Amino acid sequence: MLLNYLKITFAVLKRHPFFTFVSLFGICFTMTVLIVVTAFVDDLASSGYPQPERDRNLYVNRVKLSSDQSQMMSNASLYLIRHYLDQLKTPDKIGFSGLMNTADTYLDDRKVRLYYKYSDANFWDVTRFKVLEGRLYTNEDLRRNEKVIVITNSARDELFGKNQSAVGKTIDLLNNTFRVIGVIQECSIVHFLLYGEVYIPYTFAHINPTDQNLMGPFTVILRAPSAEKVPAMHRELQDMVGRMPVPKDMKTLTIRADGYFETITRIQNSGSESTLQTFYLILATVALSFMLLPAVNLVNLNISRMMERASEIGIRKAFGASSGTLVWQFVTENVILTILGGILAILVSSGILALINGQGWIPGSDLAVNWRIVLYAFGLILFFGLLSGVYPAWRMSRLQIASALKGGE
Amino acid sequence: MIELKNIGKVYRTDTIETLALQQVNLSIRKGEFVSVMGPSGCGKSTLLNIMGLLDMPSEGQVTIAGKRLERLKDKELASFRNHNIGFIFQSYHLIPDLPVVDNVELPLLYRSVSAKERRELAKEALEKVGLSNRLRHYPSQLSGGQKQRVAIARAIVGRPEVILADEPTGNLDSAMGQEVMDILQALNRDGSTIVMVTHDPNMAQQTHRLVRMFDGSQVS
Repeated sequence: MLLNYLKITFAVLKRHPFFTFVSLFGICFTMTVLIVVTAFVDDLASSGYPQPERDRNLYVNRVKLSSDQSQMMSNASLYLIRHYLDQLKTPDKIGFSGLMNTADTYLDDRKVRLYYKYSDANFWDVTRFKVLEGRLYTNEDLRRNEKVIVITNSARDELFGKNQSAVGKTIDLLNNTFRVIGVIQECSIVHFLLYGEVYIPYTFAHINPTDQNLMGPFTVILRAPSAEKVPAMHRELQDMVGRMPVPKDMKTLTIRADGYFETITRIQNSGSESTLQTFYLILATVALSFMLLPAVNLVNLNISRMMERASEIGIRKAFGASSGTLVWQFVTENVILTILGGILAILVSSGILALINGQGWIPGSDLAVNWRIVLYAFGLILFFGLLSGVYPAWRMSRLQIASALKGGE
Repeated sequence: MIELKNIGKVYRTDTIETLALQQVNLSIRKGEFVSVMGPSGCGKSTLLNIMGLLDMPSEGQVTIAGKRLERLKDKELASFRNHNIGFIFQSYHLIPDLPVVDNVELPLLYRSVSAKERRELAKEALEKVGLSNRLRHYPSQLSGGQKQRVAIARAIVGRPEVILADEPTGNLDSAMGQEVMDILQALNRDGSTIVMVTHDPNMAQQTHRLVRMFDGSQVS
């Protein structure tokens, strides 16, 4: 049966190359946009460079104090980290880094703007940046207040020339002269919690050591010994938060510790308390709306294509096909067409992602079509095929046999 | 085999009501070869369509092989047609995108028959109509007579008891028309009940019985 449908599908596609081109173009364009967007979301949502074991981590990024009259919200302070978070028993490592900022440096009268980020030495343990040259700063460097920094390969190329050695060279930045001790492979800027071109020990962040404010500039990464221990780590943190004294004039203290993707979607959503489900719901609604217009176009094209086949519908019904069987046949044919368009879209998307990576439009991007995206894409293709195929198929299957046969004469 | 009782058929549009059949009573016995004649527009094809469950009567009863059919649901009607009735049309109605053998297999697609068995039965049917050497040809590569023989093979491949032929020789010259008629007669001798609509008295007189229609009514 399926072979018969395949034969018919390809014969019909060959019969009207222009219609086929228009249909495939529409499907391919829609799917390409969705696959590229999916690749971005996948890059954000799944573990990868520079955190291949992201499912072991919780990210403390939101500290909220509220009273009846007001509320304050910010990242974590050094005081919060040292006096509370460092006391947690479940995490096997706690590292932190600051916000992504820019600063200018001058080289041979040339101004270079760089993204910098403060971090502690444990930050290198809770991430897996690839060291290309030299080493990463350690707790010992921080204790000695060494003016050392780690830069990325793109910063190195910009500052010292492509693939030139950078270790031992100095950069004037933020009123200090720092010595480069290591070069790491840059990560994508979309991972803004981790991204920087220059990493500076937090000891240069001008933090008042006597300040007991819980709010500060840092995102803390709590790493559990295994992914299974993450819920326990979360519980321990929340137990601790429940016991923490709430500052005067404030009523409640909330400290959020979430998975990576939830953390960044919340940040992008201006810190609202919406959940990851809300984000996915919005994404699905946008995808559906985006698919709707081309799907309606394809519905119209399908109806005109199927009208030409009224005679075939009459013949099939006359020889025993029920309306349901015909709906199945035409939906299958449409799904085959959308799969063809989808395969094209996967190829085109791969090209576009390679272009985005190659042109450096998104610093450090390493987007690619992987098996997960192919799987999502086929889900979308199937959905699109059904969306655009069911109505025309149902409509055509209702044709009266006698009039369908006349339509074929 | 086929019982039509008080069959009436009215086609309605928003403004016009056309009476296609009125008070038709017809009984066809198993193994009979019946021809239906009459002027164009007298309701011959409508009658055949109702016998073949391709159209529903506005009133009356249709009984085939002892089964009342006018109230069956779409799926039941489809299954009944598939197992009991084979159609032959004046304009062949072959699917142009499929080769001959796939066209002939069509009725078997809607039964639980394996692909291998389907192919064997289709070949067998094509052999009966003398076209076993045209399996991979497409309809556009065949003459009118050959197309009609393919259509006959398709009609008989599922071994239905009833074959309904709507002017099967109408598009063919007399020699080819006779060839088709010979095949139909052979099928009838093998036990098939055949009802054939025709304009050609020569063909009609080769059948067992002639039913004449005029203005939607049976006149003899």
